[in-house]
Amino acid sequence: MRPWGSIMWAEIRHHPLALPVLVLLCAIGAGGMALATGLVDHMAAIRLRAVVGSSEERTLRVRAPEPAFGLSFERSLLSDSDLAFLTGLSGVESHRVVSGLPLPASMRVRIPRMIDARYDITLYTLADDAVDPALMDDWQRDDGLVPMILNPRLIALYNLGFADRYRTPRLQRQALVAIPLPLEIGSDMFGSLPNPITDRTGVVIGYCDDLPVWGAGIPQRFAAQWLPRLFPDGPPEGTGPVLATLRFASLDALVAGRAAIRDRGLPLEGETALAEAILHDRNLSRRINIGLLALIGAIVALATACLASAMLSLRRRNLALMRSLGAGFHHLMCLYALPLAASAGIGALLGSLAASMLLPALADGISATVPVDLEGLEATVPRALIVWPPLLAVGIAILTLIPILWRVLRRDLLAELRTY
Amino acid sequence: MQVDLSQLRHRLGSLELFDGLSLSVASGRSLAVTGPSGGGKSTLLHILAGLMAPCSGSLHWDQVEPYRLSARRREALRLAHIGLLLQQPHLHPHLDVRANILLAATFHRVADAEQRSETLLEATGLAPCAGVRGAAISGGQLIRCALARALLPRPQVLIADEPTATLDAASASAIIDLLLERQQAEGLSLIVATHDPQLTARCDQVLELAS
Repeated sequence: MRPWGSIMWAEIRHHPLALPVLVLLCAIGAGGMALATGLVDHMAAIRLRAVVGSSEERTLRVRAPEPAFGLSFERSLLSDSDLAFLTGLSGVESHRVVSGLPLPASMRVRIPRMIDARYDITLYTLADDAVDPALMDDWQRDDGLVPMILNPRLIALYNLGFADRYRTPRLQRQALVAIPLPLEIGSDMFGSLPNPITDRTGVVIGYCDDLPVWGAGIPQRFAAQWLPRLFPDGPPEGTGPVLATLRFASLDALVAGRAAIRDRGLPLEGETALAEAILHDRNLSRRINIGLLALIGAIVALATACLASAMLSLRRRNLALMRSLGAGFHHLMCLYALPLAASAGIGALLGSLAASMLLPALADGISATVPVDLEGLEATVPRALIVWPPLLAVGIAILTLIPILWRVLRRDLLAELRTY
Repeated sequence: MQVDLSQLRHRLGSLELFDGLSLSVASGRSLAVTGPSGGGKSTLLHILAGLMAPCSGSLHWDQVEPYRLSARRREALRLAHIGLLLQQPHLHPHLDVRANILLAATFHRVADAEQRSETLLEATGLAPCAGVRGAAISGGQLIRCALARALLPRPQVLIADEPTATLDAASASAIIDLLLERQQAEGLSLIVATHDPQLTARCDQVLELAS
């Protein structure tokens, strides 16, 4: 019997630390890959769940086009052809057209600031019962006041910018104290979710991607009262379609519909973040995962190459001895590739398995920081991430060994025997 | 196997070691190469063993000119016919003595390697320490083990480079006895570089290299 096994074992024992280090390295590498990709996928799943699971699931809200002058409050209504186009979109499950005063149910204005930036503020008309009755009574007694439920941080901005410029009454701070805006925009700790918009009870009712988007609410009762102030020469009269709400049968239909609406030049309102978020997440997750896998793979490959090189450098005497006894490239490959590849593979497998056990706990921790109902959402390491990293690690170990052994065999044998 | 070297010229850098050296060792005969340190004994042995191509001159192993062969074929021929006992015994420190001997049969085929290794363990007196690791045996045993390993493939020529250089007189004497005994027993041609007058005296031919 040729002592292959004993030589292999002797070579392992010659510097016994190298292989455990490789096991650890590959375990960390594969575990890192599995954890990173698993967490990225989980974050994407949370985001998707958050967006899809909101109250306006698969819904697009379409406003009338912006007027030619952006700062004007004059707004055209949705035309008949627009409505026909919208209701005829493929995949529309149901639709609803909101008619209202020319002041639309939702209106976006730009408020010039003292500095060069601008804030987008969305004005909402609120149901009268959304406002505290005592405050409504108080407001009704004061003819000079346009009541608006506004984030207190916006009061100064509003008064200095908007009210002064458009000669609307200034807002009274005391009228607004303790009345929070019914919308609150937050952000998650990782910054990867869209900023959730919550109502007063903390329930997520929507998402937006671009901060700052602030809202201001005007009770319906006062909207009509406010119009003459905004349009002193004669406010628009009558009601008409100001907002079309389209519900789509599927996300794909929604995405296609959204593109068609965009092409027509109609502005989208509210849940436009849905399609954006889905597409963004898909692309981002894919890019992040590929980038992470490439980075970790490259680091592990480099470290494995260094380790294999160091391992063979420490065995120059043995290598010279074996070469003098006829060991060729394939002999040395058999001798060193097997333990190296086995260690890399075992390490990567252990890392992947450990990651698959750790991931649910980490994912739960992340889920707990997000104010979204995530019932039934579980993070698991895909089977591919348990199978592929070990195979990849084995491949890397063998591939890095080839050039190193090739270099060893090109050294002068006599010099090696004399030196070592 | 007869080893013939003719008109060897060789230089290491600017140092000319051999200028027209010729020698012949007939099958079953022994040659002692002596001379001062740095005189080129080891270099000569490496050339004779097919490990180092000379600058000029020709070497024949019987009718074959090894330096006219490809490196791969020369290597195969060397492993099959030339036993090499280098100045450093070069045992694998984590293999036992038996495995160190069998190492010579690991990378190319040797018929009845296991049986032959047992025979050589007995012949070299290493049987009692066959299971001892290479790092744990004495200097004399190292030489014996390296000798047994060199003899395992049944070479026709044994080339030994100062096998007694690091041993005390008694151990050296024992190694010389063993070397010549194996040479006789196996019908080897023996080429040995040495400073030992006892070994020189017992060889059939002596080549003294000038400084």
